[in-house]
Amino acid sequence: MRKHWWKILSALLLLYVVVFSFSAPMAPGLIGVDQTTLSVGSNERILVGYNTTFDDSDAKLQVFLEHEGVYLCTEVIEVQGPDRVKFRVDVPDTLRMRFFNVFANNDNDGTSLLENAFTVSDATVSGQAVYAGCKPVVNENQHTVFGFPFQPIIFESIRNLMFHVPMWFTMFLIMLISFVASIKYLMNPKTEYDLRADTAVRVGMVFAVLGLVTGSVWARFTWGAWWVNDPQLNGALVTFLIYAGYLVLRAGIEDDKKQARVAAVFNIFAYVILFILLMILPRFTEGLHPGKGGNPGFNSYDLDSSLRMVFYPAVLGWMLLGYWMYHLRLRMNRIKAALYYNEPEIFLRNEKNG
Amino acid sequence: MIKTVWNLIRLEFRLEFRQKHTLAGLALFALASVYLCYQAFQRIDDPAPWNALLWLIILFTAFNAIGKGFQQQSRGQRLYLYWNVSPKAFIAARIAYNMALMLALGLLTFLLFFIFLGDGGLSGQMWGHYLLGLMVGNLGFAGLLTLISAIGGQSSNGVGLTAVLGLPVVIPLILILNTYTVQVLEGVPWPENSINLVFLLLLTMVMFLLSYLLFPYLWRD
Repeated sequence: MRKHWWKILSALLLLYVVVFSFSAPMAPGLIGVDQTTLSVGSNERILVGYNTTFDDSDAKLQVFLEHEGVYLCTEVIEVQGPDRVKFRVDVPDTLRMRFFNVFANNDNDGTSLLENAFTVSDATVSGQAVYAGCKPVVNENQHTVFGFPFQPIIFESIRNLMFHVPMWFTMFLIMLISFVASIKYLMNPKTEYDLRADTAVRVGMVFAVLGLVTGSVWARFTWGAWWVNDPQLNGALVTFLIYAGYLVLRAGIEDDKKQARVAAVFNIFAYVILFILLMILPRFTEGLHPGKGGNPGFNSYDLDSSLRMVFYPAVLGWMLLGYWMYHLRLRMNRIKAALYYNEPEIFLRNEKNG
Repeated sequence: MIKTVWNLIRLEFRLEFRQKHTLAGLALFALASVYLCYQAFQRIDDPAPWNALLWLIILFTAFNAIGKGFQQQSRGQRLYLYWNVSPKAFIAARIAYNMALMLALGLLTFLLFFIFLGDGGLSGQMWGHYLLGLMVGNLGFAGLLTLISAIGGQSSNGVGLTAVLGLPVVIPLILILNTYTVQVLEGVPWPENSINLVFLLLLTMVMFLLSYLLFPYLWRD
């Protein structure tokens, strides 16, 4: 039992991740307004929220507009439901072409922000603004219970973070195992090393496919297409093609020793190219993924680091699962090889030390 | 070592010129592809497709030129080299020879392309930068595909496998090349664009080093 602790850990972590990522609620946020312009004078607008509790009368709902640290207060006229509120704001004639962020604030939801929600279109004076100033309460305490951070565009699909991203980490780990095994094989040509390299590539391919599928679904909901031109996606497809090529190469060579040797050479070559393609090139090209081409990374949002409490376990859990799959398959292949060469040693020697 | 490499390069050239028909075949391939594109497109005024088409033709010429390399040697030649030369010298010479071959073929293809499909909007200083990119790119193809063709040559279905293994591997190179050359055509300032060339050279050097280290393992047979 002591030998298998990491398998149990993997299962528990993944159980935690799956339960958590499907059941944890999303933090409240603001989706939009019914009309994005304001005119001078009195305006009535509707603000739409998500997962909010505008209708809780004890929670002291407050809506206010903000521009560079100066606030315009509003009067809540009618709460139309938990996620709809009608408010009135008086705009002075000194706010030409100003953008306003909207904040909604109550004791349950904390403060939520909708960036650049309004422009003031018809004000005539663009000089120093004189605001009908007020001092709203900003509730720093974002959410009392844990929730996924509310993000525009991504919304609920943020849960996919726990599945899509770890797939690539796991694939990289397993391909690294294969890379190391190939180097070892060239230095010391033992069947065991070849088995490791081959098995790792096959298991890594599973994770590559899963990464592509989860990514594709995510892309459909956030970017609007199943496939887009993005350095990460190119890299993912090239990875898939290269390792498919590796398997074709193996199948194309009859002699076992030669097959192992040539495959090892290609594997090392391919891994280095992949490293350059996936790790280095995307940092110099524009793309849609977070953290690139002006897109904010996830780090800038999960300030309360509650996402990390699930993300890191997810990465560890999936990696352990990947290693577990690799390990099982490797043992199976050892048995096959032992039977094929009629050398029980191939299986027995390596079973003893794991 | 350097003397051996030099002698091997000379040997490669001598063998190649003894069978002039293969060289002529490669030139003919370039001519035929360019002419086919000319018939299909007549004239391309937009720089981006002009550029992409040129790189595609050069890429396929490269696969033809480098892919055949290891199939061409006779068994006797291979045995002779095996007993007399170190594998590292052999692969260094082979890459150097392929680089020279690809430089010549790339420039020839560019010339033909220019004659049939226009200059793609190149003018003034851009010519120098574009040709520089063309040369570095061809060196990169040679550095990358030599080892791949050696790997493909080990299987029963050499040329086909070289393409299957080589095409995905060559994509990073093509991506950088395409960025660089399109930026030349768009008139992006040289200091900003030259970083791509540096990348390309670094990538080529990494490939050369890897081939140099790995080829000895393919050599025993």
